[in-house]
Amino acid sequence: MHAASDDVGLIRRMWAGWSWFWFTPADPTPLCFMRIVVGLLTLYVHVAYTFDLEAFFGPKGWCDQTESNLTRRELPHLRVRWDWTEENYYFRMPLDKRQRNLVRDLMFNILKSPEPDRVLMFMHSLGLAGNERDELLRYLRDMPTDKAERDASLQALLDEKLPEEEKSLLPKFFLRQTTLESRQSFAAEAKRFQDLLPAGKDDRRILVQLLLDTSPIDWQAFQDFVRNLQGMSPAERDEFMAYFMTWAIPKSVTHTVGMSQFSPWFHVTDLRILWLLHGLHILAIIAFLVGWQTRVSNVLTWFVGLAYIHRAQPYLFGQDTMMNLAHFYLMFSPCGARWSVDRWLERKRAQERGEQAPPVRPSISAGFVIRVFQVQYCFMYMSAGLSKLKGPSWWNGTALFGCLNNPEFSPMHMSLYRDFVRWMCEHRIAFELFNTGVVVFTLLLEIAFPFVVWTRLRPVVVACAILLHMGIAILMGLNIFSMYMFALLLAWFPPATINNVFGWDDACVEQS
Amino acid sequence: MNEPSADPGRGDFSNPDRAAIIGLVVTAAGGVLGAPFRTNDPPGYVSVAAMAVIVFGLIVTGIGIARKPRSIPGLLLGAGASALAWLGCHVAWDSYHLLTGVMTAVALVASLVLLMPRTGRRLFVSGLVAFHFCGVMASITSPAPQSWISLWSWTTLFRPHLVFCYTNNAYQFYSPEPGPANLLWFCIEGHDGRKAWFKIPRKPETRLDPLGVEYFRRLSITESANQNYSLAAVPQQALDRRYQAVQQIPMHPEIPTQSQYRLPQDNVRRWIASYVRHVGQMYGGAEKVKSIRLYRVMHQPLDVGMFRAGEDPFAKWTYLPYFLGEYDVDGNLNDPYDPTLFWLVPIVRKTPSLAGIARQKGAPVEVDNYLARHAGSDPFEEDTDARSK
Repeated sequence: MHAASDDVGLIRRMWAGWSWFWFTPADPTPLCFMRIVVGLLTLYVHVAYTFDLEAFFGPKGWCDQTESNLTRRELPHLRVRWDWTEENYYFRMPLDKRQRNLVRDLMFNILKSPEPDRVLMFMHSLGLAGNERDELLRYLRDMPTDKAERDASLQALLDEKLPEEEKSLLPKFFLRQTTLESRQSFAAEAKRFQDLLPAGKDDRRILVQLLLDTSPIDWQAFQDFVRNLQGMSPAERDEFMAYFMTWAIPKSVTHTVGMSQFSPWFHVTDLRILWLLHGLHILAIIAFLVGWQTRVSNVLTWFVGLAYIHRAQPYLFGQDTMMNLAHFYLMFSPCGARWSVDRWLERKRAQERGEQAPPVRPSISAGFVIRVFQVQYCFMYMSAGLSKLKGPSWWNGTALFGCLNNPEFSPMHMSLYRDFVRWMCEHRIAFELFNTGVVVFTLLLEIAFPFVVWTRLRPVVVACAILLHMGIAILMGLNIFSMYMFALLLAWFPPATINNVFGWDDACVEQS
Repeated sequence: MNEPSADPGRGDFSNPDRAAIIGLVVTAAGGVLGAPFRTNDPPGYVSVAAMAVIVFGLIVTGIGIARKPRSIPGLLLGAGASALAWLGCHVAWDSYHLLTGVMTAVALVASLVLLMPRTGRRLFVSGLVAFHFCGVMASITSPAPQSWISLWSWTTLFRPHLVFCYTNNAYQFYSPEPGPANLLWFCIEGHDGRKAWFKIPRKPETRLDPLGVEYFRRLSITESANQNYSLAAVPQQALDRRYQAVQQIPMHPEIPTQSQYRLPQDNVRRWIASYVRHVGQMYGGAEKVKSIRLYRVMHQPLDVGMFRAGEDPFAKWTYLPYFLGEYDVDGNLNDPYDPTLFWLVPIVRKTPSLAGIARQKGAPVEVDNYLARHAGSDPFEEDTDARSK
């Protein structure tokens, strides 16, 4: 009886603790300040897109619309099995499009031939012949493409009195046929197979080279694959091959296909509309920045950010992740409660009524979103820190130098910086102390942050995080990324600190 | 008149804000306008206008909901407007079916949640938080080597949510090691036989904005071309073919053979073809361009010894170009059996160590530039390099 009530008590206490953590009202000031910082950064990021708008998001951009849409609609996600059975081995299509087309044509030619089973049997027997398979394939490749010429040359092979020097040029596989009947039969099979190869010399060379490169296991898999196609109706086969030709894997081994993404840039082909939408997007971001209809403009800004992100996967880097996180979480918060047009209008209307505007009060949603930012930050630092432990340079202390000396990231084109790196390399003690020191600082900070930041040491670790991101901004040029990280760090700032600097007369009435 | 609720967070059945009703009507009007043109034909101006009306209607509905966020009828109007937007979207804008579908679902679920008592609402939100952060955890742990649980949960459970919200980053910055940057160099050959080089990114030309965002975007493009299959050894056929060309283009003497061959992943090759098409268009399309040779160029940073020896971090030999193929303007690979395909084309310094000649510190290093031979044009020459034009 006691045990049961203890359990209930424990659950109640846990729930109370959970509720306290997530659902305690908090002053929205850090989030309002974050809105302004993030809004400015996001505005900058999207104005910067203007330089490359058509090249990035136009129908013929770096990642063109056709390819992007194909990826969005069809990208395979392989099935993860619940049991220990492995997926059946299937024929791996070559990576090149032209090679794929040639392989598909060969498959379809086999299926369309009068006796596909005999062709497959012939291929099977070739597969057992080891190197002699390759010899025969080369022989078939080099035979005349004209059928009459080809038949004449094959007919000559059936002559029993073939001179020895000509015999030495023939594939061994052919010479093993000892009787005339078997030679005739073999010549007929070879002819049948050769008929299925492309007529064009270049295409034939590429296809035969592909077959020569095929391992025994793939050779067999090819035949199994064709037999599998043989069992399908023409409609099923077309559907199956349409996917297989694009992605080189059967749809049946996928859990699902496609990406849950949206963007006008997937659809807009008219460049005037492209520019018009870009302009409207920037207006939405400005509305969010100034806090006009903040709830709606926040959602719009998140959608706008996603629209660029979803269409532009190969152009993205860390800053886009941080930008998106900021907008996604701010969307659930009253981040327009202060320093916003909404607030200004609220006060103005109240004044017109001869009343005082209702004060900004702590809210559960502000507390909740601050917690979400904090937990997210801990996840990010923990992952960044722990994953570094996989790399030897983070153990031997040279990881920083791997960043400092990277000419495409660091300001290596500046002679002052280059001289500094050179000076450091000339002085071993300075080099080791600086590099190892920063590496240890980074690892300690990133791994310890999720634990220490909840203690009285919070100001220290937050200051260290600012230092880390300043270093990243200066030495690696990732300015906007670092500024977004600073913006997210505001979730750890006490509202009083922000009020002391930017408070004016509109502070929250009750500090949480 | 509605009585004030004992539970201040709970939803009510008060009249929705007028804006929500107007928004629903406007959205419906947009849907009606676009409905006759909702065919498989490409969208025309009427469809675009209808879409604009729909978006405007949704924004107005949103403003209505924001004014009275606890009004359950208001949220239901929002769900209705989103559903109408879903119906009104042109078939070709299929990605917006996803967005409007999500908006409808969110509005419906929110109206249900508002009906719950405070504890129920908190439990529901707690469940969402747990789901979201479990998804973040799956993202973090999903890059190889990963556990079955990470892989399964990422593929099956969390992927749609995390991809939609773009919260699927693993946050494994600079791990396991900071690596060298990659560049893309395109050698464009015209029908007149002239060749030009186009390189991305390059400082300071592509530092278009003061904080370098567009420069880093270009650097991301080049990094996206650097996802290769991890091979236990170079495939024998590729090695055999490479040896056929070794007289003209020797192997790099200072790099192991295994590291001189990089087979790009299938999805990368799709993007590469797209990049080639884009550059082909920039240079005038099929009318002017005969072929495009593409190199992924790893810019090797100097090590401590090289810095001490006074080497230049931008010296020619610090660039390691991997040949990604010769393409037509449509992005089709001209010869999949090119002996040097996916191989490093060396730019080798005539080093003091090899030549046995002491070199003055910081003096220029002479190189054997096999890239110039391979492409038929020197990427470092001013008159072929697009930088000078």
